[in-house]
Amino acid sequence: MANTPIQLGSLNFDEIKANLKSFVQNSDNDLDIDFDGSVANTILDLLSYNTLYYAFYSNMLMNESFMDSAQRTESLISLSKPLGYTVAHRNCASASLSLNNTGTTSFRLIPYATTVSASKNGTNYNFVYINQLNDDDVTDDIIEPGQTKDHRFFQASSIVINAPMTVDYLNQRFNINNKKIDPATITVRVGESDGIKEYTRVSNTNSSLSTGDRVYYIESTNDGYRIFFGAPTTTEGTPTGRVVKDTEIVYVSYLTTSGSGANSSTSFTGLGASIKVTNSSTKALGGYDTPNLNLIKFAAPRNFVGGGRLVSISDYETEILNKGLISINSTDPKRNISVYGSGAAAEEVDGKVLFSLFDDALIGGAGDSVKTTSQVPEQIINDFADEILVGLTLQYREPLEADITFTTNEPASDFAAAYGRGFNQTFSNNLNSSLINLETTRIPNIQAGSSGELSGKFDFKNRIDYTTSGTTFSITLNTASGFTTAGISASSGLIFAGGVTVSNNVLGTTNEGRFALDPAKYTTVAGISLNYTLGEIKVTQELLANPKIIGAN
Amino acid sequence: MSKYKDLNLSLERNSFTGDVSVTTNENAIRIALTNILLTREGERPFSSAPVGVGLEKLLFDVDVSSSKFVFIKQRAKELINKYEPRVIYDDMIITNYDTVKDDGVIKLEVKYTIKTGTPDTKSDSLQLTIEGT
Repeated sequence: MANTPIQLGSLNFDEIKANLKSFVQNSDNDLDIDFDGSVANTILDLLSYNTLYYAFYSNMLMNESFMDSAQRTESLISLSKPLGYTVAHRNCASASLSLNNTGTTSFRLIPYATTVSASKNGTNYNFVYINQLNDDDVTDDIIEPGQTKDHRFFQASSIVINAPMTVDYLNQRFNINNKKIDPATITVRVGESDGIKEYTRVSNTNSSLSTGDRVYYIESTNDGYRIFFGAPTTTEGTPTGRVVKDTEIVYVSYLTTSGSGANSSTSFTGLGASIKVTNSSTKALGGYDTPNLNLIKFAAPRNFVGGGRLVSISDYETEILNKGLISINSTDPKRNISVYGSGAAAEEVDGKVLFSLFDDALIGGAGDSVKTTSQVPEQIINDFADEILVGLTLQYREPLEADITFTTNEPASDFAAAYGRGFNQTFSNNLNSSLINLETTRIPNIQAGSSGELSGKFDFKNRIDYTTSGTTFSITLNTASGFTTAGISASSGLIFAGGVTVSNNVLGTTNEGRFALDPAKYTTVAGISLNYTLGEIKVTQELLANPKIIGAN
Repeated sequence: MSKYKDLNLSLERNSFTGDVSVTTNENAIRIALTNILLTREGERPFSSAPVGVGLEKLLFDVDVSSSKFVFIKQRAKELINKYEPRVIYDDMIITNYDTVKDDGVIKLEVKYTIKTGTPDTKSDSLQLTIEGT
């Protein structure tokens, strides 16, 4: 009799054994396989173990070969290397401090030397100013009397300043075998014949580099980091930067960090009596002890696509992310950085690249939009000035806030746990797509004008006539006790000046949840769309979503 | 025709058939019981059948009144009744209790009843010797 076809796709021992057992059992074989103590069963165990280990090995091998599925840091370091992305083994907690000079003389921040202290649970941490933009212009470092400037400080457990390194001159490289370093804090200087020169970090070779350019490259290793200098040309003849001569000494400065231990440190102080930290209660954020795998998977491909150029939205997002000027959400950086063309903004005028930022470290760690008055946008615009395409203008747009209020008879805590604040959010939890489909079909798809009920897709991103007043609508959400088909009304257009309201009379029952945009937060809407098929409310571009719950019904 | 048939633990070749030799009936049951009793706890990871009594724990601690021996007897009873449905566990005794503390060898006798499917049950026993290696 033919054996049962064998199925060995499982990674579970018992399933593998059951498959093998059914494969071995047939009328020609009357061994006592069913008894767990039997020799035949024991041999089946051995076969199952062998299969299990090879199945696991194959699975692991394939998973670790691709960025999407890799789980080991070493694999991601290796996979991201061809993409030119440097994995940080450890990251400093940092905080953007507003420094106000109340004295009568100017105050200068000195990179790697100016420190402030902060505390957390009775432990003090030092935070260091490093001028992370490698900006030779020292005017940013100087705070004049009466002036207030925002500067980012990085937590350091130790500071290494201008340490001479042993360089492999033949191969133009040296290693820094310390995984406690935050690579963003590394600066490289070379003692040349006419003085010590600072080198600039670049991530890729390009035709604009010459053999005289003072640049260096960095890559992650399993023990720390490796720094490369340029060789005269690549095999294609492209210059990669200046060669460091064997008579020149290389100096490196960097910070080692306590990683996540310093997160939430606060009470910043220590710059003297005349320099006041006006936001001393802010909390440091962003420190981690091991690389965040999600962040690597997000940033590495975009780093490759960007390649140092600023063309697509992804290029801008990646370069802003790489600047490290704001604290970002480690699992979803797109919540903090929003880049969009002005054509997609409310004014619908082309020609500008707009960006909006949300810093998780502001307001004591609660997070807030980066204001136009902050120095962060200015630094980004200045730094990108030579990179953006001719004819385009890079401009910061302070995020517009849109409060989205959910009313539900489910516990409010469920919503609070599910929804955060930031850009590009998608709210889909607890939305009943079939119900939304039902209700949204009653809303006209013509976005302006007369009354009348037409079926169609509900889409806020279309231009909205907000001059017609009196419209009400509601979208019922999934609730614990089901839903009702109690009608809604949509008349005289869709949106009226000032926003959207929901009529309790229309809902009429406590079994329904409701969704509403807060009329106090906007007058025009671009960037919120409702996909009723998927049951999602998606927020994009310059709108900063601030979901709220107004209690359980 | 034999009711139960299992491979011989030595995996020797049968000189007549050329196939792996087999054991049958009472001997097959005896080998299965030996496997259950001599398998160590945790020796078969990932398996949902946690065969393994832990008899090696008795070495140097063979007081029949100790809680450890009582516990091991109870575990042997549970495992045999669960994973060897062909028999019913009766008892487990140390047969060399007088000399066991001198030579470090434990001789056990496991008594059980073979289910025959008829009113006439059949008692049997298994002799085990455990030595420290």
